[in-house]
Amino acid sequence: MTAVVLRKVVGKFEDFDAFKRALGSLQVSGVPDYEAYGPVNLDELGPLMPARMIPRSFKETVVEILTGRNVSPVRGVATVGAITGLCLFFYMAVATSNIYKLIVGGKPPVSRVPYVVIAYEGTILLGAIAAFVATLYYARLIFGRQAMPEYDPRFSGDLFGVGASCAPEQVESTMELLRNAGAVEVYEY
Amino acid sequence: MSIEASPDQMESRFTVPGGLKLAAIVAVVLGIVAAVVGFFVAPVDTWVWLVVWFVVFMGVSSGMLAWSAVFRVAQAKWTPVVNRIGHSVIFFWPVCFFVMMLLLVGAHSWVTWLHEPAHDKEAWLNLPFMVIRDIVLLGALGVLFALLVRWTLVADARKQGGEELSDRGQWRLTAIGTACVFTYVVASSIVAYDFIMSLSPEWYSTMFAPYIWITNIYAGMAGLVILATFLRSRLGAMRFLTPQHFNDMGNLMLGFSLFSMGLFFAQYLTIWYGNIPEETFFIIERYYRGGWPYVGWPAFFVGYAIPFIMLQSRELKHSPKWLSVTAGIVIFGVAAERYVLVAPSVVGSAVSPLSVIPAFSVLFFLGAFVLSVTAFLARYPAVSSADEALHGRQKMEVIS
Repeated sequence: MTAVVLRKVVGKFEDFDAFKRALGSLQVSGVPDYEAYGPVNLDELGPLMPARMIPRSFKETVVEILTGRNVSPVRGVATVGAITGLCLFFYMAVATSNIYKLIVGGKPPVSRVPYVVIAYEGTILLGAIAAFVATLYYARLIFGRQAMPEYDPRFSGDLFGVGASCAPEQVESTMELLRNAGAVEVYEY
Repeated sequence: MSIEASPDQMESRFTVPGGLKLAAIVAVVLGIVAAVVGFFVAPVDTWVWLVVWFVVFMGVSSGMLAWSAVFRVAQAKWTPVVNRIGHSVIFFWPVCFFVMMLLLVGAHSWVTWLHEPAHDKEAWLNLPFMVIRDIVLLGALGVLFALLVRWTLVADARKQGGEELSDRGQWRLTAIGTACVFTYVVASSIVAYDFIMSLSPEWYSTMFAPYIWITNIYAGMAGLVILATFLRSRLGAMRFLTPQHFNDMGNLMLGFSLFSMGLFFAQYLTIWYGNIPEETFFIIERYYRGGWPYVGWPAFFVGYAIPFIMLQSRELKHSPKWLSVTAGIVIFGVAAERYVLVAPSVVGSAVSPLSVIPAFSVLFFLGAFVLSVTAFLARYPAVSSADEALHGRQKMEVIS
């Protein structure tokens, strides 16, 4: 069986209602996949996105995490960073104490209870840094990662955008759909 | 999405299923029987259990009402139903007060410092003063909560009658909410001192009272989550209790689980560092030696650590069912912790096997709780018009 090469149709919108209208039309049009771009993140777009973007039930999400599908990798990276910080800072506190072996307040040199504070700080610190770096990486802002090809910088400024992936025979109808919804510019990428 | 409550939604009331009412009445009777039998077979343990259940249920119910007061003070616009569920606990308050009076009448059976007076603390630890301060402060708190609920209901009725709530009316509700919050802190602290901490009169911790009322607020939010899950479809308030609302309540629980553990650790660290026998014995008895650590540590993990990990999941918080399971774990853990805080001070390590019987007196509290909450919700509208109309807004923003 030959794999169908999907083609990309891009629509640009100045009006938010037209943008929502286009997403709603795409959802019922049979287009296999599409992305939405905009200067702000709006939760209300969730129901208008393809099924993979709609929040799932808890059970489905657990399955998704176990199978590694459709879950933002940022939180996984943040968790790994946080656990690393917890272990690393606890180890650093213990190792430092073992080097100097200072007796403070009649406590043993390695006092685990107050080291919880240090480990906690490390958890927050490395967890936050890992989340920040992962966000930049997966947002394609660092390490030379290329942005989504159809992305226009104005989508972070004054425009909303839709990038629809469709089969070759759907290209014309999809462009027409976007125009009818109120797109100010439509083209095939 | 912008939605407006329809007149039907504003007027919807809870219809109490006959089976639920019967089950609650049976639970009340069984709870009373368990307590009465307990007084014959293990009287001291029975008093201990009554103190524990009083502290737990008073804590959860006052925590729920405190949330309603906090939402009012914060001018929260997303909580017209959550607030009303919090209000519904006001009918349970007289039950708490009655049990407190019963405990005060039987104080000689469970108040340890009446038999071994604590030296240098007689000015505070004497029975007449304890009775007076408990009645006055919990009575004042109950009256203030009742006024908050009453005035909100009056404002609701006026709004339903087409009358706009004046700025003065809004101010009055906010003022009584503020008074409720401050009185809650003082009264809950007194309950923590008199019904838990003073049972080991040699021990003291300035952080103990804040720890108790913060964990009560934590358990109060858990109680709101459970009731909201149970009632959302039955109240016809699905649009006011969306997954986003549950996510927000889950986040509040997450924050308070962390805060509670922080307070626990701060108290533990101070005692560990000072290493003074009059402070350490309280921790050692409950968390290091004898049989109590087998309850103490699991209670800590079940009440705080495990919910903290579970509540990391956004999907879990969006699911009312799973969030209410987590909330149930929270309340169970907090109740177990209260038992560990109270029982060793009164019975030491000599827990009677027969103390299982009076433990079932919890059924009385559960049944009374269900009866009182459902009676309130059957009588008054599910959606608080006054809360919805904050700042004169006719609509509320709900993200579905």
